[in-house]
Amino acid sequence: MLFFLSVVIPLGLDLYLPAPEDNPVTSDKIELGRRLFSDTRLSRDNSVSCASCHDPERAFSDGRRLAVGAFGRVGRRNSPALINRGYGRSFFWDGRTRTLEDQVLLPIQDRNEMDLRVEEASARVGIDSRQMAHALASFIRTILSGNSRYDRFVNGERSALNEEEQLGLQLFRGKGNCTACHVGPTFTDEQVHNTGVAWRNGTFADEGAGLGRFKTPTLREIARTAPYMHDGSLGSLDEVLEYYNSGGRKNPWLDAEVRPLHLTEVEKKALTAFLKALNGS
Amino acid sequence: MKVSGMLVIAAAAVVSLLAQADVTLEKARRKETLEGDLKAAIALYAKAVSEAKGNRALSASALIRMAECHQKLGDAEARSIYERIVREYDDQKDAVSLARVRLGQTAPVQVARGDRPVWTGPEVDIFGRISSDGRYLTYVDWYQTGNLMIHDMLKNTDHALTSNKSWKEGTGQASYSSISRDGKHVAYEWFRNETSRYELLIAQLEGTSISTQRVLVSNPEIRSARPFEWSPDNKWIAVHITRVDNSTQIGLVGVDTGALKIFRSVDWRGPSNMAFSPDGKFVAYDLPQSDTESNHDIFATAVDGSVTTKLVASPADDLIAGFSSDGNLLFASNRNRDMALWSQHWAGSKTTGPPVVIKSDFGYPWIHGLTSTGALYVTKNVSDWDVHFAGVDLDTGKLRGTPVAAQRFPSRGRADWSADGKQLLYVDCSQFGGGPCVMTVRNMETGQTREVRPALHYMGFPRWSPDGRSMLTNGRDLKGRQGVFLIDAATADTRLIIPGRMAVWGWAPDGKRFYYGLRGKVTEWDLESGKQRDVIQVRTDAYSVTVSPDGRYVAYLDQESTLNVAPLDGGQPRELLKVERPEHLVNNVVLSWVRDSSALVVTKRLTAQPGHLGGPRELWLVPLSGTARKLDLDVSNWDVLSAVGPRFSPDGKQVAFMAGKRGMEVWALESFLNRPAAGR
Repeated sequence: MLFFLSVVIPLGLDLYLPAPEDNPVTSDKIELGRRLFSDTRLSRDNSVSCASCHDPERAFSDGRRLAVGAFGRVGRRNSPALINRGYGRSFFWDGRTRTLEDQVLLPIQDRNEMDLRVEEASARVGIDSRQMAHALASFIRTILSGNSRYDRFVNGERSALNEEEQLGLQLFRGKGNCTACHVGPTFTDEQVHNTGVAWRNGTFADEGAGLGRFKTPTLREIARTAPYMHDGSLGSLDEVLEYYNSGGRKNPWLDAEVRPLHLTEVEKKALTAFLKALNGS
Repeated sequence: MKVSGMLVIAAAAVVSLLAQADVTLEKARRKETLEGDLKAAIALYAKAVSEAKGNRALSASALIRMAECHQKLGDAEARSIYERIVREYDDQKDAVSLARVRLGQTAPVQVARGDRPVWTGPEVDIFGRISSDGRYLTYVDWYQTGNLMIHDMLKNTDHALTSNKSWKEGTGQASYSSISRDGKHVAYEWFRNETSRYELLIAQLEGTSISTQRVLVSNPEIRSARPFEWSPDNKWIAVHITRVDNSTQIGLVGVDTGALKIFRSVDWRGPSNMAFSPDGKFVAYDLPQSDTESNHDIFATAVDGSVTTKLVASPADDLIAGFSSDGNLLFASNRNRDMALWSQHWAGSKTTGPPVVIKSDFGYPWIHGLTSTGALYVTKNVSDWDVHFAGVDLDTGKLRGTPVAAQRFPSRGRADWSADGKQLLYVDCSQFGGGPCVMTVRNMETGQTREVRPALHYMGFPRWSPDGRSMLTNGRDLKGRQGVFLIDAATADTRLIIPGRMAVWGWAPDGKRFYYGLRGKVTEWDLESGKQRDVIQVRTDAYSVTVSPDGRYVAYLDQESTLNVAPLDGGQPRELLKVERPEHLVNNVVLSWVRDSSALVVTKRLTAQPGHLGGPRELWLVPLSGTARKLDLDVSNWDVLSAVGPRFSPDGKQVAFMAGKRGMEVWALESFLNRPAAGR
């Protein structure tokens, strides 16, 4: 693994930003990736680009319950926020790819997303698929969120969080058991878990990675990335907290970490306040 | 024919005598290092010298050890023995060099080339690092004060670097430490009782004392900052940071400002070692291969965080030792089955060329670092400490049959009997006591054993549920979380019940509730509802707190060496047994309730040498009503003076105990320095 530093790492994130040895981050590739990211030619009907579902104004998510792709087709999952994915170890809600380079070309080919063969996409933009993958991955590596009030607090600025937010942080690590999965600088363990969200009428509406398991999303910028969960089924942070407070949706494969939390109203409010402090600057 | 026959007999006699000298030397060493009986050791060393007539190496070695014993006793005889070695053993260069050093005739310690033990005894631990000149090694006084200590290899003396008068009167305790390259400073972790967290401090080192000290890292968000090696220019220290959310990172801390440069988030277990490249531009370290693997790979990260390179990767366990004096990467690896020391050329930012074995019999030691001359200092675990079990008659004080050894190494013991006495569990962990741990369950009727591998990295003191279907233990899971865990005895399924550091103090007889606590408060936890209630407050300085199997009482020891019992449904505690100093009751962590919860067995130590493992000891049977009496059991070979004391089955008819050699030795390894360097 090799990385030539040309990105400023914000407070709270690791100085070492991994990149494959055959794709060191360079400013040329970042710039090409940035252009490709917003290029609607990468969809069959020239209507959508990556940025259509990963809007920089919404922390690279889209605000919709489910993603909408070429020809107005509605996908089956919510658009995840592309925050700090350079540190990721698995990608997509079901964690099916292990590198950004493998990940970035798949939405272009997905019928419900951009619906274009890679060869045709390459021809349209005039660069080969490998270059396209390297450039898009390089650009996504530069999408970083840190230096939040939380980061300043844990790095010694003890007034950066108010009392309610500090209570929320305590609950996040303690009674709320949130750090069982949302851990570390990126607030994700990069693992897949069954939280019961996909369990409907005695079966899984979406198997995810199998047995109803989906990847833990980052919580950075969480206040800007509603609606939540892999299916966008929970519209607000309050709904998410209520869902976990009740112990998730019971099913035979429910993760042992998901259990009733017995949070009070004050505690739920504090947790929400803390989560909002994860917006970066 | 007669003459040659006599020669054969004479030769056989010499061989036999030499073999006997080896045995005597080993006995002497055990007597010195494990039992601490220096006078007896001196006599045995003298015997070994006389038996080793033809073996001058053995004889010189025995004389050195004998002189060291005299030195520890403050006996002037040490000097004359060293003088004798210099005078009579000029063919034994290592021994003569060492003797000269001890006589003050030469300054450097690093004269001898060869692998040799340089320090043995109960004080040896794994928390310090060697100084660049090989003279000093830091460690922690675990027995009496919790102080940061420094051992002087030259003078064989020990000095406290911090000022706790005792555990009770101290402000905290030391942990990992590291001496700067120039030998002028020491960085050390200090657990401050007042804040209940570790700080990283730095102090000026002046010989064997420190003067000014200052805090480098103290942040409520950081649980610990473990120091590894100092940079060659002494401006940075490589650290492993553990945060309060159990996430961990590696990086550097600036010596002048305490500023942290965090390179990389890593698995909570972190590296086993970190070392600067010779030019100080990279830090090399090892990390577990994945969240669920124990084997490590080796990486290097540029000190500005810009580049990370995987240096050594194989399915085997690869652990970094450091950089040799000629600039090669040294690492331990079991890729060829046995753990060996390997060398690979370091090309400034990565390794090149094939690695080569430079020491095949490396084993699994704990690495304390390299000196400027290239000697590698390690601690070896030389224990064969093991769980033994036997039938016992508490009335006659006799064992029924010969104790059986579990033959599990390295064992931690922590045995617990099932309620019906038909199953015994015990725990085995890694060489130096940490995880990963495995639990063994032995069927006492059939003798069959099976391993239970819960999703835990470390197990504290597992306790059988009354129905034998599950166990509770304090411990640490694969995410690094500490707490109380419930383990399914059949499937090993593991569930975190209560997060946090606390102990399991016993089960309620219905198996639906259990008792846990910290600092004296006994809290009942209902497994089905998750509801908890405080049941009783025992003394805050109570230890060995244990709930009786019938769920009616809690027994505990206190600082006044009194065994107390208090009813769980309220009521006043009462004394069952009180001993007067210098005798004291030993903290075995878990007390043995026997005979249907009507009595307890406790360990009494008859002398006051806190912490050390020798000295006379007795077991006492203490009934809830009636008179306590000494059990007529010979426990001289049992380890009953540690946290892992004897555990009697609930009916009092069986006992499990730890026995065997227990100890660690610090070795200076130099034999590999003469091997060819790694190719480029």
